[in-house]
Amino acid sequence: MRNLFFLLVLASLAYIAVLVATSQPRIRSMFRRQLNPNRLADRLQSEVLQEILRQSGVQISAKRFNLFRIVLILLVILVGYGTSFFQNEKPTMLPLLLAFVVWFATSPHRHTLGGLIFSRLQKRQYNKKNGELISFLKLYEHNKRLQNLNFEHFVKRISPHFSLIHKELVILSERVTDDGLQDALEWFVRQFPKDHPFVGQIRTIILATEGVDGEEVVKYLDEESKTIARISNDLYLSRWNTISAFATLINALPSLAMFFLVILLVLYNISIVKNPF
Amino acid sequence: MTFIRIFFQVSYFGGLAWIVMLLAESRIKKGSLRIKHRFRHHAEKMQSWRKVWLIRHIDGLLYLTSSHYQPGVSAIRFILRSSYLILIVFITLMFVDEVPRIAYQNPFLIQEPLTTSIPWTGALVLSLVFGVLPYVVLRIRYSHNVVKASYDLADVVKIMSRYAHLSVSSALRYTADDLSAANVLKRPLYVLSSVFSSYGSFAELQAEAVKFSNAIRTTFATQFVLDLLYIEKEGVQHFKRSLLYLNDSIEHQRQAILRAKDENRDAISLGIWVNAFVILLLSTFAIRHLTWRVFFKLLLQTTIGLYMSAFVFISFIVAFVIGRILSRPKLDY
Repeated sequence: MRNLFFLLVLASLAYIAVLVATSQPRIRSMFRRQLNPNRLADRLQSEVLQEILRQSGVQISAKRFNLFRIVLILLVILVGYGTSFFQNEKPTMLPLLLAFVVWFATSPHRHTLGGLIFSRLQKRQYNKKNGELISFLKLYEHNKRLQNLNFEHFVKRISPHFSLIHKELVILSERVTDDGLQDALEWFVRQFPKDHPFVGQIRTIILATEGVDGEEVVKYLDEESKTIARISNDLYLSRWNTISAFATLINALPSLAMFFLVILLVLYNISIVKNPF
Repeated sequence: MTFIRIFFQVSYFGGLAWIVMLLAESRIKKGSLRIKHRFRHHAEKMQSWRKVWLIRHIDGLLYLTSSHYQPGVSAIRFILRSSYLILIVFITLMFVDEVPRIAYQNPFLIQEPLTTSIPWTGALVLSLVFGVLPYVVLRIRYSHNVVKASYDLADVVKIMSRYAHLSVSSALRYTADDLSAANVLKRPLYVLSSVFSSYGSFAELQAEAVKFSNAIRTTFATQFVLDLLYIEKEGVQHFKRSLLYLNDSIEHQRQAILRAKDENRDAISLGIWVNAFVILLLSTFAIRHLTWRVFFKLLLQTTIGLYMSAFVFISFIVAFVIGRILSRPKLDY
């Protein structure tokens, strides 16, 4: 109770000080402009973080992400120290430690846990994007064999089924109509990194088969389907290898923890026996 | 004694909360029957739940896991149940005055158990953990079902080629009738069939179809849905041919996956047994060294032993679940 009154007195003193300091309208309007919550929140927007979030597939604005981090850290510190303040206990280091853990796990810098998580997510997203490209190629082959729709109509029809290359496909279909097939495919290839393993081959296959009808296409696709199968097999194996590495890591954790547990218990037992109180 | 007292306290307050909930429910039901019709009409018209990210997310998870899936309604029901659970656990924990202390500095000196009280932050964290549990279970079932769905699609394609002379909606319905109850695509196929028989505009049909293919997220599912949409527009003459071709490519890819899987399936499925073996071996070693009584007192009545054994237990379960999920890859390119 005493602490509560103390806090109340402090707050009212601060309020009076603010009232006195902002008695002049000019200063008050300046304060109001500087301390506008929207303006303060806008400062948290960061383009670098936004790019990182976009590449790792997190659909949230950088402003909100930063706001969430800060609110979480403040909440941890306030709850941790607030309760110990009201109950007249000695403050501990635990809330500070928790706040540090929160910062460490969500920071986008390279040498923190958050940076590690983001880079993992980015790699995963890249693999998924490659999977969608293969899927696009397979759908193209299927379309060419059975239905033989116009290329731009086909691309427009399948675009809602993809989540990662959705935007590229919509633009590709517009560009085919406007600039012609070759330029549009050039643009599409440029959307991927230069050392991409197979997007060039996709371009070659589409260029070779588009505009040709009938038996020739089927013959050509039969030849090419071996290449496609090899690409997809490579992709599959690489994905499978990352998965098994991850699974091995996860699987090793309980055994390691049990090992440490037994050692710690034996040490603890020795310390208890030596010093019973 | 304290255990019995706590048990009675918990059951008393739990029963009280239960009665209040039942009373409130019957009360609300009576009142809501009148406005239900109007409300549902509005809700369906606005489709306002689609705007909320959380409901959309849960709805996507329930689409493949719930056996009585209804768009939107199931997700809202799930969220309400989870929040009830959080509230009830929190209130119950706040009313429990004292619990016996579990962790001691030196468990060998204790004659009779001491008691402590639960701080409100601890109660909050505990109730949040309880509230998240249904979501975790749902998530695990979903990631299991997604993989299963990619294999179940092969059955759907095979059975559907029998009904390829019918219109799309009735072919879907007959196929769903023929599927076994274990097939996770049974309910989604019924939903899809009802959409195909009663859509207002082609955009609406396409949105539902995209939802179906995005729930499975494989090339074959996309191909299947694209074929259905194409046939709905252009007529059924190529239906059988495209289904048979799709079936061929699915079987082809299944062979390729089985070949790739043979090489390193063992590493993951062995992991769980290695873990269990190591834990047993280390425990027997520690028991031989410390005797039963000392080992379990150290394990379950000291702070360090409790934290570490909880960590071992949770990581064991996590490794088990992740190993089970990862050891079966999706049927895709």
